[in-house]
Amino acid sequence: MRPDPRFRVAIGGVLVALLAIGCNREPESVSSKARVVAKSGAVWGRDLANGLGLQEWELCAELGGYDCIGEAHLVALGGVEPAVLGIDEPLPNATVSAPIAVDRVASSACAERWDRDQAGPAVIFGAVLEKDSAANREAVASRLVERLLARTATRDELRALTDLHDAVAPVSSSPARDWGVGACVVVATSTEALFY
Amino acid sequence: MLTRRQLVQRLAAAAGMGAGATLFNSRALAQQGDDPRFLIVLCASGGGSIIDGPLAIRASESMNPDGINTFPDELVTTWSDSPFRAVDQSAGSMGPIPAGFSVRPSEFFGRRRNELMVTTLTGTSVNHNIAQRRSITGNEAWLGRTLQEMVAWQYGMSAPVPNVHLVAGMGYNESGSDASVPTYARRQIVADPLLWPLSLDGSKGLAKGLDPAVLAAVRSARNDAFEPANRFDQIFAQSARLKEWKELRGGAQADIEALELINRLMIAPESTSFPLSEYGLSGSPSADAVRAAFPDYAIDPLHAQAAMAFLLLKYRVSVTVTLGPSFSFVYDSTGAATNGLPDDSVLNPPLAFDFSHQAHRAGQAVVWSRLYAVVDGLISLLQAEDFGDGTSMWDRTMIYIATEFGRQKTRPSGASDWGTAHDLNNGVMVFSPLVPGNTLLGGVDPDTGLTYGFDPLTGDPEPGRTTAEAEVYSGLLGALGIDTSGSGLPDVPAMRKG
Amino acid sequence: MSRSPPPLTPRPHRSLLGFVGAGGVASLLLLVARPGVAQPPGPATFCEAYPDAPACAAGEVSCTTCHVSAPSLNPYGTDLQAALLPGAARPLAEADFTAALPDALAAVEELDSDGDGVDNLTEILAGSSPSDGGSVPAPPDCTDEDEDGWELCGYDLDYAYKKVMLDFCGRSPVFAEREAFQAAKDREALLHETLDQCLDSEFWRGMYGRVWNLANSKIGPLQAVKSGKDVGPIPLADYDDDYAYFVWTQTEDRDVRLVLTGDTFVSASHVDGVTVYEEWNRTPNQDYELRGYDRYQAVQRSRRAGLLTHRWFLMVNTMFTAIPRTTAAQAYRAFLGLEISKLEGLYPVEGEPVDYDSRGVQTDACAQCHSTLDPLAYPFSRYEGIGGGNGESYSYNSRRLDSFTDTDGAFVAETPEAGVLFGQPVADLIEWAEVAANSDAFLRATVSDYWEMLLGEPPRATEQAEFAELVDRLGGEHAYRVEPMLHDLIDTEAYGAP
Repeated sequence: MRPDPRFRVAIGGVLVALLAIGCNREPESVSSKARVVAKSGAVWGRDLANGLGLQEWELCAELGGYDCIGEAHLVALGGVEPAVLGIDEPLPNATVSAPIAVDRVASSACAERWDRDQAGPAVIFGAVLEKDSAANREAVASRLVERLLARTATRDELRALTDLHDAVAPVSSSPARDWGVGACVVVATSTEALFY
Repeated sequence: MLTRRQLVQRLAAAAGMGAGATLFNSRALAQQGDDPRFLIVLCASGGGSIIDGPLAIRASESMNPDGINTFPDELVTTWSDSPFRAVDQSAGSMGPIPAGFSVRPSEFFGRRRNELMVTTLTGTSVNHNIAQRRSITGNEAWLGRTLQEMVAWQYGMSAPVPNVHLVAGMGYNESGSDASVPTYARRQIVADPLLWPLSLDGSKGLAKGLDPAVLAAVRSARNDAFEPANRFDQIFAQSARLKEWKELRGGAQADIEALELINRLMIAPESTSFPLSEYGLSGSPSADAVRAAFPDYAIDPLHAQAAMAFLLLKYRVSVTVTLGPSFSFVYDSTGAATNGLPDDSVLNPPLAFDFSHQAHRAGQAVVWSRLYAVVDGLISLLQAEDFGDGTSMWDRTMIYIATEFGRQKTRPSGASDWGTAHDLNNGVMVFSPLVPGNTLLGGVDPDTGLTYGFDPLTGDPEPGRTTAEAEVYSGLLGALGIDTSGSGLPDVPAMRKG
Repeated sequence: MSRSPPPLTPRPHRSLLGFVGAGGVASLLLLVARPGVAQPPGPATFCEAYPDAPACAAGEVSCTTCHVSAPSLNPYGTDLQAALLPGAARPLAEADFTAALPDALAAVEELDSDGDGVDNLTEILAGSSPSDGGSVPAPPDCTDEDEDGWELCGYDLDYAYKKVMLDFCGRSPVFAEREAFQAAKDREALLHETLDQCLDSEFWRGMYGRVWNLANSKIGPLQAVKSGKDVGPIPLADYDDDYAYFVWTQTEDRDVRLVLTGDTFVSASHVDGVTVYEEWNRTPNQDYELRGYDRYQAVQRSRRAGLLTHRWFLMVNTMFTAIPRTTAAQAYRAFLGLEISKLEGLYPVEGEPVDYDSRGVQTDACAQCHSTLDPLAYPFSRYEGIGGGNGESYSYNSRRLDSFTDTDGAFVAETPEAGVLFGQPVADLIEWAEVAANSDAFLRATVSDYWEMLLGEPPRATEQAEFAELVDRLGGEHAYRVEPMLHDLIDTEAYGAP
C-alpha cells in the first residue's frame, strides 16, 4: 500500500521538528556587557537550602563540626571576616579551592536530600526512588531545575542531565542514588546557580 | 580551556613592554619550573624596627644615648666576625599588658647570622596598607608587579597553587596592578591553614558525597553538556568571572586532587576536633615534623601558617608563600600568672609591631622574637628537606622579612619603654643562601638612629645615601634569578651572591 | 625655634612638580617611576579633547585611563608619555604639560596601545578601554533573535527582578514568584515594590547585613581591642556604635550627609529577629554612667561630626598622634573616595606643609602629598585618641597639642585648628564635615559604594552618563536619601540590561 501523501508531509514535518530539537541549534545572541557577579556563599547556600527543602545549617559540615559555608570555606566562598582576619570585602577573584568547596557543599546537601527523600516524604527524588527509569529520571531532572534554578528546563538541559546516568552507571555501585545526587550537583554548581 | 603554556604563549603575543624574555617563553618557564627558587615573605606587620633587631645601637656608641633608641651595652650581644647584634631583654609587663616577657635573640643570631643579609631602606609611606604594598612592589617599580607574582610567574608554571598568602587583609596580600601577569601567578588567599586542606578534594572527607569516579563524571556532565546547553552560560560566556571560574575548574583542580593535598597538607592531628579517621582522612606524613617546629599551631595562627608554608613548598604546591602576624591579640592562657597574665603568654600583642605606639621596646622585642622562631623553624625544616638532586630545599629558598616601615628613633630621655610613631627610615632582613650572608648593606648612625644606604654595585656603605624601595625590590628579584630584562629596574648586584 | 606659620592660602591645582626646586627633582624621580608624571589637569584636559567620549560624561576621566596605579603607566599611558614633548627635559612644568597634552593625545590616536585590534581613538569614542586588551567596543547594533525569555538589547525586567531579589533580599525568587512576576500587569511597579520590601529585610539593613558590611573598610574593626558585645582582650572602643550609625544614615528617609555631620549616636539591637536602630543623644557623662568607661562616647554634642568623632574612629586612627594625618586620610578615603597615596584629591596649599610636629614632611618627596594632607588633618588634631594628650581619651580638647611638646617639639602646640579641604579654608572639624558632606566627591563616593557593591566593578566608560545622573539626583531631587537613589539605580541599563 502506498503511503498517503498527507502522511508523508506530516512525517516530514515531524522529522524536521525532531531534527531542529536534536541538532542543538546555537543561539546567536550574547551579552555584550558580559558582566556577572558571584553569589556569596551565604546567598548561594540559601538558594540551595530553599531548593532542596533543607535548613541552611543542614547543608554541609566538615568533619561533622565546621559549617562549610559559614566557617570552613567562608572566605573561599565569598564571605567576609573584617574584625579578625581583616577581610573587609569578598575576595575580588575566585580562589583555586572555591570550585572544589562548592562541589563538596553541593554533594553533601544533595546526598542529604536523597537520604531524606528515601526516608520520606520525598521532595525531589521521589519518582526515581519509586522506579529508576529514563522517564522518571527526566521528571527528577525537571524538578531539580525548577527548584534550584526557578525555571523550566530546556530539552537540551534535560538531555544533559539524563545522559549523566550512562556515565555514572559503569562506575557506581548505586547508580540510581549516584545519578540523582550527581544530577543535583550538576544543577546546583552550574554557573547559573552560582552567578547572576 | 587554555593550558598554562597556551596562556603564556598568548601573553607573549600580546605583551608589549617591560618583560623579561623568560617570562613569555613557555618552554623557558617549564625549564625554570624544574629549577625553581622559593620565596617566603614573612611580614613584619605593623612596622618592625631594624634598630630593635640586628642593627641595635649600644648606648656607648651614641652621642645621644638617652634621647635615641639605644640599649644598655650589657644587653647587646655582638660577634667579632659580624656586623649584627642581638638584644636579650626582659621586663615585667608589656606596657599596659600585665604580662612579663623574656627574649633571647642572641641564640637565634648566633646560629643564623651567616645566612642573613640586612639591607637598609627608607620607604615612602607611613600608612600601614600602603607601606605594606610598597614592600612587595618596590613602590610600583615594575608595573606594579609583586615579588610573589614574579616568583610564581617564572618558577610556578607547574605548581598547582604557585602563590599562596596565608595572612590576609593587608597590603602585603594585594594583587599587583599588571594585567599581563598570568592568572596562575596571582595570589591565592588561604584564610585558615588548619581547615583549608578540606577544600582541596571534591569527595574525600565527606560523610555523604560522591565517589571520585562518579564526581568526575558529574563534573564532566556539568562542564561539557549541561552548561553549554544552558542559556545563562551562553549569554555570559565572555564574562571574565565565568572564564576565570571555568579555568579554576580545570587543570589546577585536577592537579590538586591528584596530589592528595587534603591529607598531605593536614597539619592537625587526630582529635575530637579533627576526627580525621572517621572521615577517611589521615593527616600529613610531615605533620609531626611541622608540629614539632611550630608547636603552638593550634592557638597561634602564625605557627599554623608557618607549618603550612613548609608543607606547601615541600610538596611543590607553591613556589612562594606569604605569612605573618595579624593585628589580633594572641596569647597562651596556660601557665602561672605572676602579674595579670602568665609570663611570656603574649604571643602577639594587639596590632603586632604597631603595639609600639603604646610600648615600643616590649612590642618590638616580643614580635621580633616570634618572627625569629618562625624563621628558625622554617630554615631547619627546609635544610632537612632534599630537593631531589642532593641539595636541600633551603639551598634555593629566600625568607624576606618585609618590615613595612620603621619606628620613631627618639625616646623620652632615658625611658625604658615609651610609645613610638611610624618612621620611613628602616631596613629589611633576608635569610637565604642566595644572598651574601653575614652581610650588612648600608649602616646606622648611632647618634640619630637613622640608617643610611650603600653603593648598589659594590655594597660599600654610603652615609648620606638612602636605599629606595625599588632598589630593594630589584635586588631581591636579582638574587632570586628572576629575569628582569627590559624592566628598567636598577641593578643591585650587591644583594646577590657571586 | 618658634616660627610663625603663613596664613593658610589655598592655591589652585598645580603640577605635582611645578613648585619643586631643582634639588627636589632627584628625590621626586625616585618616587616617580618615570619622568613626565601625569598632572592633576590631565583628566580634564583629556575630556576637553574628547568631550563626546562616554568616559567624559562627568567631565573628567579617571586616573586609570593612563595609569595602572599612579604614577605607574598602563600601555596607553606609556604611548602617550612617549609622544608628550619628546626630548624635553623632565619633569615638565604644568603649563607645558597642559599645552602639549592635546597634541600628544592626537599623536597616539591611531595606535593600538593594548593590542586588541582596535585603535585608541575608536576605543575612546566607543567607550572601551584603550589600555585593556580585553575591552573592545560593543557591536554597534544589538541583535537578539532568540525567543528565550531574555531581553539582550535593552532592559530586561525579569532579569532585573531576579537581581533585585538576590541583591537586596539575599535569595533568588522561587519558581512561583518568577511566574507571578512574569504574569504581573505592571512589572515595573512590582519590581520597585519588591525593592521596597527587600530594603526592609535583615539581609539588607540588619546587623551584619549588606549595608552593615559596606562600612567594613570605613570603620576598620579589630576584635582585639573591641569593647561591648564580643569584647576583646584589650577593650578600647566599641565599633558597633559606628556600624549602627552608618546603617542608620543609609536607610529609610534619612539624609546620608549625617554620616559626617550628625551630632547624635545610634544603637542597634535585635528584637524578635529584627534589628532595631535607635538614635540617642546622651551627654558624655550620661553615657559614661550608663555604659561605662570602655564604651562611652566622649565628645560633647557641639563638637560632634558624625562618624568622624565616634570613639572607635578616633581610637583606631588617631591613637597617640598629635597631628592625625592617618585619621584625615582615612576620612578622605572612606567618605570622599579619594586616596592620597595614589595622588588623588591633591589640593596643595601655599606654604604647606609647615611640619609643626617635625616629621620631616617638608622634603620634596613628602611635600607633594603633605601640602594637601597636613592642612586636611589640622581640624582633627583637637580630638583625643587613645592618649598622648591632656584631655579625656576620645574627647574634644582645644588645648590637646600642649601635651605633645615633649615628644613632638614645642612648635606642635602652634598647629592651627583651622584647615583646608578642597582648597577651601575650614575653621574646625565641624566645618570640615559640612564642606565634605556637601561636596561632589561625597555624592560620587556614596553612589560608588552602592554601584560597586551591586555591579561588582566601577562604572564603565559607557556607563558614566548613567552614573553621573544618579549622583545628580541623589544631591538634587532625592535630597541625599540613599533609598530613592537605589530605586534609580535598579532602573539603569547598567543594572537591568543583561
